[in-house]
Amino acid sequence: MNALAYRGVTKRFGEVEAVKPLDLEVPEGSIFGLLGPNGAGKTTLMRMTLGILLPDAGEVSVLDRPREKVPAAFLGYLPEERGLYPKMKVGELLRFFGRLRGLSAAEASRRAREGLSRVGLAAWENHRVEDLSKGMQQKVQLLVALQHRPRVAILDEPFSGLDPVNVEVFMEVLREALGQGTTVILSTHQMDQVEKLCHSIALIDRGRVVLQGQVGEVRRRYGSRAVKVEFSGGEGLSAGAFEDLSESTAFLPNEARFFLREGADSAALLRRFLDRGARISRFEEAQASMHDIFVKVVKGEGGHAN
Amino acid sequence: MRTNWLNVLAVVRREFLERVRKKSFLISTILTPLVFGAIMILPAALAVLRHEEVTVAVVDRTGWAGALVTEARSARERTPDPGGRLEEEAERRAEAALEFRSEPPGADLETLKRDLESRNLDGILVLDPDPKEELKATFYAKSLTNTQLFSLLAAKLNQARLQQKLQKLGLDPSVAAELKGGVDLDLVKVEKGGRTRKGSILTDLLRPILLALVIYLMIIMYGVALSNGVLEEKNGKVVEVLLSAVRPFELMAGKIAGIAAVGLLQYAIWFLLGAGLYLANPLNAASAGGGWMKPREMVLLVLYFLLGFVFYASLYAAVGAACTTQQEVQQWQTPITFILVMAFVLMTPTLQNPHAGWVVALSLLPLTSPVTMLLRLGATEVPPWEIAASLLCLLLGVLVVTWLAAKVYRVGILMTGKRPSIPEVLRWMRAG
Repeated sequence: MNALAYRGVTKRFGEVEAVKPLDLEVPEGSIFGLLGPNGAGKTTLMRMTLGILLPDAGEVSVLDRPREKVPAAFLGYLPEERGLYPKMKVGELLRFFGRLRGLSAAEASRRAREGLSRVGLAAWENHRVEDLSKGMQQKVQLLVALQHRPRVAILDEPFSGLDPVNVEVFMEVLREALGQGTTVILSTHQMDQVEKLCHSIALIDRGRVVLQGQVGEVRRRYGSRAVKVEFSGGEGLSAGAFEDLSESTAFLPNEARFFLREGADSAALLRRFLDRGARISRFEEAQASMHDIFVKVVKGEGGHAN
Repeated sequence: MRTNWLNVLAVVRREFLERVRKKSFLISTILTPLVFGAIMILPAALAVLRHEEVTVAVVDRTGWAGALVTEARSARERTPDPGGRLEEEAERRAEAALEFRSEPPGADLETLKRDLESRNLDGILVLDPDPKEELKATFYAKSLTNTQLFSLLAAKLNQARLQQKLQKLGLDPSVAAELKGGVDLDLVKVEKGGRTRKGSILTDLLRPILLALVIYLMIIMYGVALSNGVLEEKNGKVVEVLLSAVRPFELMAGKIAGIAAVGLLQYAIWFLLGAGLYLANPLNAASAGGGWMKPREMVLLVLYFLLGFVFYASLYAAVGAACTTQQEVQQWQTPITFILVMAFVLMTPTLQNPHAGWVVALSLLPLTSPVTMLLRLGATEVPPWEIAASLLCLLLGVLVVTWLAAKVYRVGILMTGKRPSIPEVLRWMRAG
């Protein structure tokens, strides 16, 4: 079953087409990364998933049913910032949102206490939200999104403003949620976190899905094409000399990085170095990082990879 | 999806608790009756406290009036009125603090004016003969704002003139003492079934004003707070988290009901406080129940409060949702508030002609009926059919306004950045 499915979903804001006809499926039981530059349409897509915005056209389905028919208890949401009442006490706030997501009063209290001690905030239950640091507030927001064990949790930039230790805590909590049956969809700009956490990704740019698939598979698809060469000597070697083989090249006096064109062969690249009389001290086919892939795809230098 | 009342209840609870726990709730609950009391009692109380000596020089050019004026006693003797005693006491003290200094008929006004300058003297009263009215009086002073002093002097002058007239007519001056005093007008209110009840300024004029004033103040105070609360939620991202779980109508209904509950609680506190104070006064305790409030009146009061509140609160909630800045909110609040202010400004003519056509019309119009009808109810017997029609109109008004407001709210609450134009607001209403 798909946790989420979008078919031909479109959203305009006046002149701006925030989401162009978009198709995407997010399988149940995974942590799914929604990537893309600022203004790509990620947040708009999330809002349409939650019924905060209505799409102009197309269908959003959650767990194979139309969005409107999905009980509030099935969903959880962490917005990009300030999604809390600053004057409320932390425990009260969690209970309030728990009730809105269909928990009983007793259950909401229990989950609030459990959640707070899980993220190390047990002592803060009776403090006002505004007295908490930004990182602590972010933890509370995460609890709001996950405490009722939703089937699908939608997290908009959950890691923003967190120190590395708390990023680890968040990742653990997300993996636990997955273990309890919650499918997690998150947006982030931290590509190393995507590599550590996400099973699959979709890269969105200007309202369109430009790349999607499982993280390992995407990296493999791009990875075999990144080449790093350390060399000395050689005549007339410059970026221009490899234009037919490499679509993007970084050329330093003794080191060059290439990103091979589709169908180009790394052996041909090596041969060209040797033909020009260069001595090779190192030749490496590196696996592209999600970071490299993101930058390359968004810059639009590589055409469509999917 | 149908409205989930459990969600509404959760929102009501949160809204109620947050507002009741605020310090501002406690402060306004305590302060408002104090301010009211102060406005009613303070002027008279201060006048009682202030018994600064006032010296007035009397230049008598008539040969007879000087002595009569300075000896005249003006304080009236009347049956005590619960609302009037402080003023009488103030009058008595003002008279005690007044001291006359007799000057020879030929005294130089310029010299006396210098005394005014050096503050040895507070006023100069010059008495001249007058062929028709016997007496002509002129008062000189540095400041002409002490109205209490003027009315005191006027009373004394009139008594002096009266005595002089009597003497001219050949009557014994002691008749003047007989003529002193006046007729007390006893007010008796005739109620349904011919029952009568002694009236007073407090129960018959002040009470309707107080009841209407409290409703008016509460609607404005909490309506504005509601607009601001909605705006706050909107400008944070809280509203997104909320609306991913509840429908906009549930949120709006919950917020309005929550804030209405706060208002009702405050109203109840004031009501009990007022009833307690009223009954604590032995003069009122004797007529307990009859004077204060009948159960029917109380039910109507709560009905008008709730319906009127929901009517206006929906408008204020829609304003909060349609705007993006505090300034914009204030701009849109003003016309709404103005309508209610109008109803209140028309208070005096409303109380004087509670059955005039335009008053009846205002008490049927949902925009003004919460204030106007309460004023009428306090002032007179309103025919039951008028009350029923007024309540029905208000109820219909509430249904229409909440329906429209919910639509504006639905779209406005998530719109940020751009100021909505009026055509745009109308489009939202149609689109829903």
